[in-house]
Amino acid sequence: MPRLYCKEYPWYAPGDAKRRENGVLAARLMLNAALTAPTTGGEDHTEGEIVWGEEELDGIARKMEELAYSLGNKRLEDEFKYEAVMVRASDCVLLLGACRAKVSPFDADCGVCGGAEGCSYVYKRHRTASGLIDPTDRSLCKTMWDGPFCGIRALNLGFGIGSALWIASRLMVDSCAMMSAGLAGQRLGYCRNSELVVGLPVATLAKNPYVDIIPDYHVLNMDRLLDEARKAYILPRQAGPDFRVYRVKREGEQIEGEE
Amino acid sequence: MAFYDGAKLRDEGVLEAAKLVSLSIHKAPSLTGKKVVKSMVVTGDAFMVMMDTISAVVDKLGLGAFTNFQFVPVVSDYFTFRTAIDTEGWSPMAMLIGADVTRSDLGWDCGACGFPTCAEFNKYSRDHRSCGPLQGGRVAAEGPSCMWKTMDYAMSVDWAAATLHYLNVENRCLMTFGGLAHSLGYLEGTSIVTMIPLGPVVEHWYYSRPGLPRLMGVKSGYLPDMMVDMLGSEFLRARHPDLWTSLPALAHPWIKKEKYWEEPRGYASVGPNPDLDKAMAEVDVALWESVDEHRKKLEALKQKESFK
Repeated sequence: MPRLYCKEYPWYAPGDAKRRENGVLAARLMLNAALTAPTTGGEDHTEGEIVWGEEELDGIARKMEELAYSLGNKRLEDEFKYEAVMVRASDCVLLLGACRAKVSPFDADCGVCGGAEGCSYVYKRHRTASGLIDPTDRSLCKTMWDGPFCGIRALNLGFGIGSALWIASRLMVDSCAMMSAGLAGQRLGYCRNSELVVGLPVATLAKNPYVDIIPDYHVLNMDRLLDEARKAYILPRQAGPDFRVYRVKREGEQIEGEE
Repeated sequence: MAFYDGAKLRDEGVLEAAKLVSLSIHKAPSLTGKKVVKSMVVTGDAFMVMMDTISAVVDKLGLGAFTNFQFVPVVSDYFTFRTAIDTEGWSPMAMLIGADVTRSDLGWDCGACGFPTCAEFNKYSRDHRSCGPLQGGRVAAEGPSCMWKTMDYAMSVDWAAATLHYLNVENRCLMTFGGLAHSLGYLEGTSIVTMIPLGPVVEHWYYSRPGLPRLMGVKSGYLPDMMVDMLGSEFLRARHPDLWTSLPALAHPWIKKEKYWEEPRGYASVGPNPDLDKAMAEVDVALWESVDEHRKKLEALKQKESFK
């Protein structure tokens, strides 16, 4: 008779791997919700990608850690490092990208981006050809994101994130929106058509891994401290004598040869 | 034992839903952890100030003044509300959700706004904050905006709509009347406002817009020619003539229509249109005047009616 056994520890053991599959299932439904979220003008503007597996999640986490230092932004350094730990603890990461945010503004003169006539606030700040934004030009970007972006596209991405998180909360899985995971995912080539990406890690753990975070969490996280425990335990153990020769005397036990 | 009128209970239920939606708006998740969002429920006279603002322009310039303009969406929403009130007995009620996303206190220096640092963005915002030209340049959102604060705000709007969906309250996120509410000053201290009407509680009121044919007195199941022109191929051909070109290799291809060979040839052209500019400017001015006038009325109403 088939069985589906789930237990969250040891991590990536068969029982934990099954549990993580459930998280991926939730992420797929979250992606659906993001795709059907309210959208200005009903235009298709969102792409999504789900990333799972120990190696893949570690790849995103390592990129987040690399960005924590390479960006040179002291305000964000800890945030990126802490959130990398959270990504490793997650079942998967749902990446949502606004694939029209840079190259295809809504063109409604709405003013959210900057208020200039003809959406020129966005158009003037990117290289253009024949009145259209050149998607091949990524060289001018000196910042994390190649802005400015169309405000309506950002608004709609927010709707998508909101719907995805709404479904997560209804499915009783933990998730949160991260700029850091989105940036790392985008730099690694996920959501390949999007210049603006947000990451939503998903977890089905006993303890929500995205809240109740202590200072220096990139070091003082459970993975690291468990590893420290493994190290600390092993050294004193090596002073143990041959267990076949020397036994611990139990209470009331009479040892042969003793009075 | 008692008898309850289902329609009355439904209307009471919408107000209860509004309370629950308020919870969702403020409970909604954020990306930055620094979300500040404002919300307000408007009913009756407080709602009608927005309607009166648009009706004053329609009365002054006539419905035809709006055809082919960027004002079509706001006028279309206006008539959808109008018929809901007139034919469905809808007691107008809407949720207004707003936030000021033109200032960044994040310090992320991420570049998504177009500036290398939040400080430079904030300086530009302080000097240049303004509405977009949409709907006359005063009936829209203000920019520039921090993209992350915009997403935070959007999550609240999304949770409001999702809550209403779960509660079976007909709704739609409207930036048209949201922009109008912003310009009239409903939610002070905000740069962007979205309006979500609550009800009428019928199927797809804001999507299939049954109000529009009723408004035009359509009794049968056939659309009048005017609506066919407004919504059908005439509408599309005017906006996307390239979808109807004859052989594009010709320097000036015909724009096709039904039996186009029997009609004088039609061509698309690109160039200035002073008449259109003038007509649009006329609507701009009428809308500005109406907003200025009704802003005072709203202020007086706020003074008179206490907040509940």
